[in-house]
Amino acid sequence: MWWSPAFAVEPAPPALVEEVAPIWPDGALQSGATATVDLLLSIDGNGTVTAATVVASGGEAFDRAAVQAARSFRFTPATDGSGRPVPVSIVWRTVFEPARAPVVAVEGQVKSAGTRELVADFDLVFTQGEARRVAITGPDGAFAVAGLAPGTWTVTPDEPGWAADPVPVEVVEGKVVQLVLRPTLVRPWEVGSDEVSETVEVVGQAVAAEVTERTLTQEEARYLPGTNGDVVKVVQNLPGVARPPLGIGQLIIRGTAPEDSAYYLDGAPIPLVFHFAGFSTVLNGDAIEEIAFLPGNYGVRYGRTLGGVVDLKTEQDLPARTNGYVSVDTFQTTAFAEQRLSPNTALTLSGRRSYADTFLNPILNAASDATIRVPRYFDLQVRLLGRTARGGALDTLFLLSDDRFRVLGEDADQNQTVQIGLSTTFSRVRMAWTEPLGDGWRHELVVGAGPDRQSFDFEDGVAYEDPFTVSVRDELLQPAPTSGLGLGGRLGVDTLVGRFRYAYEIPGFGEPEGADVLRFLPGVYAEGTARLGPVVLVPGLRADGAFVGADHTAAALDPRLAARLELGTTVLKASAGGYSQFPTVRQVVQVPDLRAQRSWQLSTGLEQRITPALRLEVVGFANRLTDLVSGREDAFRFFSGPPPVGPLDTGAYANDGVGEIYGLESFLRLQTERTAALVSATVSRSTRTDRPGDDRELFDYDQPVVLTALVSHELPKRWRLGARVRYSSGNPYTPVVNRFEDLDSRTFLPVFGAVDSARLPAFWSIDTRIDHDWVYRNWTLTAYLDLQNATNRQNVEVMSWTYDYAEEDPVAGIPLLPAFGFRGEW
Amino acid sequence: MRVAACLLLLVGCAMGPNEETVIDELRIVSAVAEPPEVAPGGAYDLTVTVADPVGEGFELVVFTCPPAELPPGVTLDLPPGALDAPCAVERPVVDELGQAVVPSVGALPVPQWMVACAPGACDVDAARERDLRDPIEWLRSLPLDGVTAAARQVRVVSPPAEPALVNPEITEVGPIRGLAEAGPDDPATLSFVVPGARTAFGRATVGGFARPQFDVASDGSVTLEWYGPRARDPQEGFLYVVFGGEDGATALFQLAVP
Repeated sequence: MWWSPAFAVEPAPPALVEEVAPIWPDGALQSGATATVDLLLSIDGNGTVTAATVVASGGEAFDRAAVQAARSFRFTPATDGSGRPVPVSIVWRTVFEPARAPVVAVEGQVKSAGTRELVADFDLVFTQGEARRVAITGPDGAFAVAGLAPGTWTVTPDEPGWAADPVPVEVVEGKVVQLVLRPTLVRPWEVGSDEVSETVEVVGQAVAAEVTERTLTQEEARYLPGTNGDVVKVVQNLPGVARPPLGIGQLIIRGTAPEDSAYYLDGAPIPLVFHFAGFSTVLNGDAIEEIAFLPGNYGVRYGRTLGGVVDLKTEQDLPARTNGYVSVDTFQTTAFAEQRLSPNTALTLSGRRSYADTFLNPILNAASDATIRVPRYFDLQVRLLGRTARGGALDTLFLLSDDRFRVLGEDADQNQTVQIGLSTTFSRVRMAWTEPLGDGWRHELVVGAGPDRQSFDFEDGVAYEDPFTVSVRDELLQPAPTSGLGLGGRLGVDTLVGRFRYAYEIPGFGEPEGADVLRFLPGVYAEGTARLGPVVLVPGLRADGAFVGADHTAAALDPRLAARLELGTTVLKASAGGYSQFPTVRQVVQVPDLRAQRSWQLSTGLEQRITPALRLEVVGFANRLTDLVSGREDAFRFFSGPPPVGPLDTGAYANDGVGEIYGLESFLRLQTERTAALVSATVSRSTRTDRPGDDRELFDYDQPVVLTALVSHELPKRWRLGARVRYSSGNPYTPVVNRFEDLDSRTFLPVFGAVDSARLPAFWSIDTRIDHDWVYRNWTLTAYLDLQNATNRQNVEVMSWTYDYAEEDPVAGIPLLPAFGFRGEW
Repeated sequence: MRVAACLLLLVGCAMGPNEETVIDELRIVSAVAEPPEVAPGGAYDLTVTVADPVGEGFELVVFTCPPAELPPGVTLDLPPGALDAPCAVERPVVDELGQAVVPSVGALPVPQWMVACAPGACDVDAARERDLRDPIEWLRSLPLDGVTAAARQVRVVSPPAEPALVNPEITEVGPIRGLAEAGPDDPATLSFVVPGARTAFGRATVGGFARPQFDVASDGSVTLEWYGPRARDPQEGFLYVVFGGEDGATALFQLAVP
């Protein structure tokens, strides 16, 4: 061995006092392999090696051994001309010589307390008096240390962000001591970014899959205020999403109704994404790898919708270890477990049950003649994920979701009856097969099948929709290169087939309706991606058809084009395209010659990376809606929000409606190691004209201004604080300008003013959240308190009137709502 | 609407039936047609009762406009020109009990509209024929305060039903217990026997009834609970009980309190 000073200032370089022989990698000694490794050693003013960097590798395993040994060296301090100790760097060469291979005295593993994850590149310091040895864990969390004199040594972690009590180790000559250390991660932001938690990506406005990404870590999403730890609810804070009334949890995206947006699970459509009242997502957030949120101008992969798209993409990596959690909070209990069944397969089980009904029911029923059953919901997921030898995956998921709400009463014979009942149930078997095909092409086949049922019981009436749907998506994809010149492409089939039964027999809502029809919705799409250096062009074409029953046939052809110009930290983007949404089954059963509703969408914007941690995105958009189906507003339908009031269009269904939507969205995001902050602002206008010659009216959920700012900050000792401030314009409503009493029915009836000519007061809310983790040997307990509407502001959610319509009687939203919960994770 | 909102909000909604029985502003209480059922073009008397708790006085307008055409599927043996006649407008004299009798001829299957206006609240003379043909549109132009409106459609049948529809008859009033002693927490009871009635609707300009409506037993008996006024509320006024029978048949009981 030799050394040479890289810092050769006179008069005194460091002199080696103690050298420690490196431990040979497993099997290397027996195989006779040798190696030479050159290291750059940083030596402080005490002569301690504070860092060792490989400058000439001898192989990964030898490098690691050399670094560990060098970290235990001791030098005399280097001194400057005045004799003062100074830090220096030197190059050190380690030659692995079998004759000098030391005997291991202590070996073991480092596992993170709570999660039991093996921790790589973790420094441990063994001390005995003046003697000091350093051990560094390998990729498997294992470490070994040699050359320890017999006696008691103290082991202390020497890793930023981690804490553990010193551990005494009794070293006996001729024996190898086994040791497992479980340090606690107390300041994650001090740890290298590669060790931070798993990432969930929220992908937004992706004209092509790789064009624009908004990324939030799963940890951030879980701890954001107002979400109750539900990662999908983070979407509600993004630009382009209006605030739904009464916190019903539906997504009102870019001035369109909730039913105009579509929800997918790995590309297979699902009827809803949130449970009743938006308390929770129907799929466990820990099973989600990526949330694709596409408010508009998306690619040809998605169609049959005028609004936005949310695609929940499940985790595709096999779990590294058995893990799971049980979460108990004010509203629900959730359990989740992942088990590796073999090197290439894993089983995931998850279930959730709400129980707000158990304590709210008695409170509500104390003041009511009826027996109210507060909404209760549950969901269940069973998933088997297998990786194929070629790097693909075969994935089977069963999902069941059930929501119910009832008001019970007694009939004349004092039998308990359902006065009002509302339920939404659906189940899906989703099978996905992905496989690389070579030359960069990838094949994806996703088949979903299952029944839905949405039903409403009201005294003597009943209404239900009962479809059974089979969806098939078969896609070939080749991503374009991320730089230079190149082409990519996407070809796909997106087809729905199934049976649709429905009945609407609610007194007061017109003549009973019902049908049982087959429907077939074939769709094909093709998209090319051309990268010309900083320019990316994505032209695409999507064709859809609709065959419902024997009488209805419709078709739609939607060309789309997206462009992107990348200029360093600035990205300019623009997109234009056609979008189509077919009328509902009940509409085409009544009027078979209805056409597809159309939307022509145009958007342009920029993304600016202001600093590595701060990004800004601004997007302007304009949508022109045509062929909207108008009519029969008096008919019963399942509303995702408050029912319409005011003068109703009771004419027959027709493609008479048009609409205009335009707006500007901005999104500022700060992401540092300890702080996540979002500022989201949307300014928009959405109008409709129901029939030719009608006045143009505001859309029911038109909210000209929506602002959201939220921040979550990580404190030492595993405390987290967060806050969210929301502002949104009130929804328009139709005022009552007079009233009269129908003396035959003894009820007052309103005389409405101009449609949507009044607006509810603006919504303001501040939500706060505090979290803390307690880390135990094999599991972690997290407790949180989430205060929604912390200022207890009485926000008007829906306008109502006194019984005689003499005065407005606004319905206020949720008051101060403290939600607390615990999560035990292993 | 309120029910729907409650459904969505789930909490915080408590219906207030008592307030529906309290009349604290101008209100058309009932319109009793005698006979309650007529042949097309027939004649009847409409007795309109208006409550005026404020006591400022009011003007009552009763108008009927023939429809442009009969609803699809409705065939009636109407007198010639019945559908082309102008709106019939009556401005009857109202007695001290707030009642006015409006004789009607040429009955049609359309609602009769009644509008009571506080002094200066609406200009009836300016109401044009077009406004009267679309009462909803006319109401849009009138203020909410000081104006009360109601609609009533007398049953017009051809040929007349057998036996003829008659209004319920109040055959027995009483016992009325505790009227003088009744307070906000101590109800008085009003009992009636009204053969032919199905429902009794209680309204009051003083105090209030326990519920907006009470079921009438098959023998015509019914007992209503009435709560007296709070100390700060008006102590004098009227109690009204409107008895509803089959197909719009109506009877009214009116009592001055105290």
